[in-house]
Amino acid sequence: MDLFDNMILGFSVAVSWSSLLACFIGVSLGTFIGVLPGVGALAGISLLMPLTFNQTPTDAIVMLAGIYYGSIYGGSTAAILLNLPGSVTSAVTCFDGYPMAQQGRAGKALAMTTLASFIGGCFSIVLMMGFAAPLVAVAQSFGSPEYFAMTILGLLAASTLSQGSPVKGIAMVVVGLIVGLVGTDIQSGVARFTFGSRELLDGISLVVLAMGLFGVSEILVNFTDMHRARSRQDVDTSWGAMMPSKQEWKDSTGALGRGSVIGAVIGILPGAGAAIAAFIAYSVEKKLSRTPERFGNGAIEGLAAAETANNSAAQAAFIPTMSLGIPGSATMALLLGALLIHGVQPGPLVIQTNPDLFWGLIASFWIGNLMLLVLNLPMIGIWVRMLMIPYHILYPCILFFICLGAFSARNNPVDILLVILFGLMGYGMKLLQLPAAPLLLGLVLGPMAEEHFRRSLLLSRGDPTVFITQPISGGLLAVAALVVASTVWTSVKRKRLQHAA
Amino acid sequence: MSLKSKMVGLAIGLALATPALADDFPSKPITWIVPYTAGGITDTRSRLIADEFAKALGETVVVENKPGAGGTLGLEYVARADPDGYTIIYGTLGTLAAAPSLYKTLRYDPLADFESVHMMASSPNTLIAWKDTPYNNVQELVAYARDHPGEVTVGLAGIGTGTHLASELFMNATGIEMLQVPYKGSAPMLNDLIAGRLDVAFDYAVSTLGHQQSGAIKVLGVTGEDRLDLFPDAMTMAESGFPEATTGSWSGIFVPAGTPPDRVAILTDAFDTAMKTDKVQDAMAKVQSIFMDMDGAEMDAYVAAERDRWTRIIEAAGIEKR
Repeated sequence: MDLFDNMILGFSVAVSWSSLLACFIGVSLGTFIGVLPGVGALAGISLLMPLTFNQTPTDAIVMLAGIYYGSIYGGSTAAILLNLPGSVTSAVTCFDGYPMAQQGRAGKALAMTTLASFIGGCFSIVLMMGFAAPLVAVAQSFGSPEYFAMTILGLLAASTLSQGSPVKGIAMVVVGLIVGLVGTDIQSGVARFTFGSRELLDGISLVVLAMGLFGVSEILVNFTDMHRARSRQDVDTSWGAMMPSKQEWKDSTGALGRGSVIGAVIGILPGAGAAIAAFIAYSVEKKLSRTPERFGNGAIEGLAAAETANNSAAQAAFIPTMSLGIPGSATMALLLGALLIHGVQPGPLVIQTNPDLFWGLIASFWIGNLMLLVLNLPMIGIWVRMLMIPYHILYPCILFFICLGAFSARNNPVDILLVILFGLMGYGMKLLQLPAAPLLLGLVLGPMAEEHFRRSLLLSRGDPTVFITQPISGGLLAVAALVVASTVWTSVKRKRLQHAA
Repeated sequence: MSLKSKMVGLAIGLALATPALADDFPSKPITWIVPYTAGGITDTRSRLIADEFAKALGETVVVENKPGAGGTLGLEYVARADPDGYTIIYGTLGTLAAAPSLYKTLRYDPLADFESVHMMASSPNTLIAWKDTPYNNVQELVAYARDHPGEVTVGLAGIGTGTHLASELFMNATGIEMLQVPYKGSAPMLNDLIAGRLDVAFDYAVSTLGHQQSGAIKVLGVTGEDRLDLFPDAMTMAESGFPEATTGSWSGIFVPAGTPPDRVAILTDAFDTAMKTDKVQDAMAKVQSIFMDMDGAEMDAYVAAERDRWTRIIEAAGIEKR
């Protein structure tokens, strides 16, 4: 009973007073940081890392990890209430969360989010405990051709995200791809579309784009349409009104399960990230749904899928980070850096050399997720009351926080200008009824697709068959081809039926 | 005289005396600009040293991150900051020696716009390889690459980064041709190397160690002047017969040009004290960084020589300016 012994060891570490306190501080701070728009886990952890220098390594990593997954819990709050994604991950939460809030179902949306996050998080912790080694082997088998094939599937999913005109959806994906070209080309080091601006050499930040397109544009719309803004000041904060109904639970069960699995699968791939997991889980639900037209108009299962997937992916990201020593994201790199400061050499041997740290961290995930559940459910009533703040007070405050968040990422005022610019662009897109979500996904996936496509060809010395001869990438591309074929087939059939009728 | 007028007189006296007194520096917190993102190795090292630096100086030192464009945005910011000694910058091989050859529009002159305070450290590169490659040291790699031209793939953590420059230098010194594969940072590069999709790469001791211990990769050689304690069997480039391939990512502290010399001297002394504390020395040894006890004219000359050397190498490599 290795696993059992390990968990006993883990809990014996994690249940100590200092670890419990570290965990509590971490998840509370994380929730708070997540609620603030634009101030993501990365900024939060780097600001608070010096505080951990005097702690034991285990307490330090428990606290920093708590900030990380806590911020992903918290990130959905602003997304649901204000259409303001605190991070790219929670952009998907906006799609159905914000319409739910507009329909007066903000409490239900927040409650579902909290529970879905808990379920997704727990699913990945179980995976991490039982199957860390085989999962790492899977992650290792992902080379550039495999990543490329995955991004193609993701881009296909992107075009289904839009409601209404598919042409508009595809057009916005392309705009996202173009925005993704801005910056330094990884392969050659040449600057592209920076117009001589050195500030654009690192490309356009996803968070800045998301906050502008979703948050700032929403505020602009409400300013120009005060009638609509005034119509939602009555909020019922009784417990009954806030808990999802039996029917809503029934609708969400499948989404919760699928979201957990999709999140975990994508989460273990270094570099793929929670945002892509949420996007893909959401489009899978939409594809499977018998009423896809409800998506984007307050479908609770869409919200459930996105939230389970992003939290499941967030926890799963610890698998390659801890057992391989290879960070999948900047935030994970920061956590590894923290370990290094504490004299723990991250890498494949960390489980053997520091079992108390590894299993203590996993045990703390259970405790932290439970704390987040207990912490967030009673907070829902308070958050929902925030909607009662008059808009002429609330909006300037939010704009202030958006600018602060944009600036905090790299202490560069150019990012504030960019967020305003994207806000205006988002406003224009709303007037033209162009969907913003496909644009965002285009920006997430475009640079990844290009990087891996070119690296695949570089490593195969220009041989394009590498994409179909590798089993995983070949399989993924076959699925992508099937999706395209089935879409074409159904539309052809529909046209024939129309002709016949 | 009333108390009030005495106070006014005192205030005027102080205001007049202030510029004349040399020993009132520093009288407010010093801002230490780190031109890279928070949490990275440069950032954590800066925060650690800043702690000791503040103690030696008797004044608060605030570390601030101004990342972007390979660190050059932070350098630009400091080049235009007040030369009063209250803004200091973490300068590196990348931003001070290589950047002018890598960027089209650099808004600072590495030599004219900065004044040297004190060197920090040099971090030699490790030349690492996938565990199942047929070569085990630098000489075997060079021999193999000569027999199989263009077959060996070498990973770079990004165009213009220290690992890229080290690989250019290495190919230049050995005359071999390898296929360069650029990555976005060293994590995805190591991932491909461990899985055997990539043959060799230039890396740093910190990230190499864990994977070397687990047996996933082997260390073929190191680029420093001496061998590294962590990898005692890995020969230096000079020992392998390629002394021109010797390099290391160096870093130092600089202030904007025009900072009063007495203030520079105060900063230099305090920094020297900070660098020589056990805490800083231990932390550097842990990541195999070599302390560079260098300041003043000696440091100026070193930076100028490095600037010349890298200008030549980058031109020879034909890297396009961005």
